[in-house]
Amino acid sequence: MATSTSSVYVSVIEDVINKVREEFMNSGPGEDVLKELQGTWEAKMMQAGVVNTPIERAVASKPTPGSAITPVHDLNVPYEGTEEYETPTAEILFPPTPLQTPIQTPLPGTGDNLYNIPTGGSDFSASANESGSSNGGSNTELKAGRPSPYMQPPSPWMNHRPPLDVNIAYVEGRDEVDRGTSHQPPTQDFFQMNSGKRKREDLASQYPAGGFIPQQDGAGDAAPEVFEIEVSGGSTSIGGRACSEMVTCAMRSTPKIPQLDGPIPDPYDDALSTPNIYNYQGTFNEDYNVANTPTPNDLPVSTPAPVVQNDVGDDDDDEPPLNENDDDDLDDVDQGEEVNTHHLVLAQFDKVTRTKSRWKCTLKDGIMRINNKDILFNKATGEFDF
Amino acid sequence: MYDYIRLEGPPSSTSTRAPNFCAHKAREEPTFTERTFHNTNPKISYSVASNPSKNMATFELYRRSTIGMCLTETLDEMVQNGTLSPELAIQVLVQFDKSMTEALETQVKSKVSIKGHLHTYRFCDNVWTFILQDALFKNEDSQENVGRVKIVACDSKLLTQ
Repeated sequence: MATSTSSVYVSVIEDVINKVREEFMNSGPGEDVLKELQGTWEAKMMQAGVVNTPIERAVASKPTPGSAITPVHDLNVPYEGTEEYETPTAEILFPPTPLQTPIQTPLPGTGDNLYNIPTGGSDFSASANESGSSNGGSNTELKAGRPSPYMQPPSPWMNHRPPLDVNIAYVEGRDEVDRGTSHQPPTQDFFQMNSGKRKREDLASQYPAGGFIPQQDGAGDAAPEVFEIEVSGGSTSIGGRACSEMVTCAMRSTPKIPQLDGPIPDPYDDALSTPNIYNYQGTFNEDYNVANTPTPNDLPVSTPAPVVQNDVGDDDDDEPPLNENDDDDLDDVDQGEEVNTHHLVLAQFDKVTRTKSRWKCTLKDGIMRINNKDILFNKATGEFDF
Repeated sequence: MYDYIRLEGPPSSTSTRAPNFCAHKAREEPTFTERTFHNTNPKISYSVASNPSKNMATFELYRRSTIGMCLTETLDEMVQNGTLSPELAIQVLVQFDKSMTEALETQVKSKVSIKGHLHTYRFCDNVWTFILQDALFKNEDSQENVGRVKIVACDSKLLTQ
């Protein structure tokens, strides 16, 4: 009986596979996917105890290449790819900044500058006046001097750049232009700087909507505001040139600061890629969100993807266990709804009649699942008392 | 969502409903096991799958059987993995409906008698549903006693029309 059921099932599987093969070959998935389907199907049938051992031989060869290899590769490849993409971006962003560890330190410095400016406006206005009186050089000195008292590592790094800034604004422009992708004469630098400033302002407005940009944004938003304040102070005290120089200095410092800020969002990506660290820095992210509006955009953008990856990754790792769990779930459901579903007869009825409380029915082409055994029947007669 | 998983329901054509397969949606949706166990009415589909010349109606009824559940699970996994398109998964299931029906007609010759106390009967959408208590299944080889069993039967005339 069981053997006949098993043989019928096997013939059904083969029949389905053979008749669907043409579709698989034509529509794209191909023979391998079809074999995977057959292998997994047969493996599940064996797990359910419905198909006998002789099929195992055929099954054993097919499912291993199909179910084991292909899903693992398919699932792992994208994850590795994404992780690789995430980590390199972080690493790529690190190199432009000379030191990785000081990266975190300069940010508090910049942050302090940003926050001190609105609060301690008097100090900053004084510094702006001084810078205005002594041209751009003093301004750069001030900039260099600010971070140094906060932390040692940022001060040397900041000092490296200021000397370049201390030189004539034209030289600075050349250096920066050379550093940047565009080569243009120094006179145009001023126009560029202005245009660049406008662009950054525009970007600043666009940042909240943008996904990846906000990382640059965090610095970009805050920095321009700060330096605009400086420029305003300088313009009141001195004049157009000072203004332009201030703008140039400000603009040069802004692109550098975002680099400083850039590395810090990167740890988020790293943390997101690795769930353990993510928990640790999750709180850190929250604090950051409160501080800067653009960062929240980073978080929603970055968080969902890793979550999905983690889920699917778990699926990968636990694939064989998952099947077992599915069976357990089925058993649980059966136990929970044992009343209705544990024993089931699926069939077609030819006739159902009733005489008073006595029911008679004739069924055909049925599949019965009774006492964990599958029984097939061609015809069945039922006599029930209601 | 998973139209091909929907084993039961009023007679309708599977092709009329556009399947909506989405891996991320699948996680939010209840698993097909939950669906199938809560549904009660087998579905009849008149769809034409891989062989248009053979315009034959099929029951989705047998998808609830062990072999059908195993196939549905497999297709579900493969669709979620992205290795299989939902449309093709539906085609496979429709082919299974045909093959299973055909196999039962041609390969199975056994007869069974069922006796028991009828606890519940229901006739809806051309589908009879009986819930028996203390049922006795007899067949040539053996007999099985079951405290409670559910019988779901579609109208055989729907296939011969």
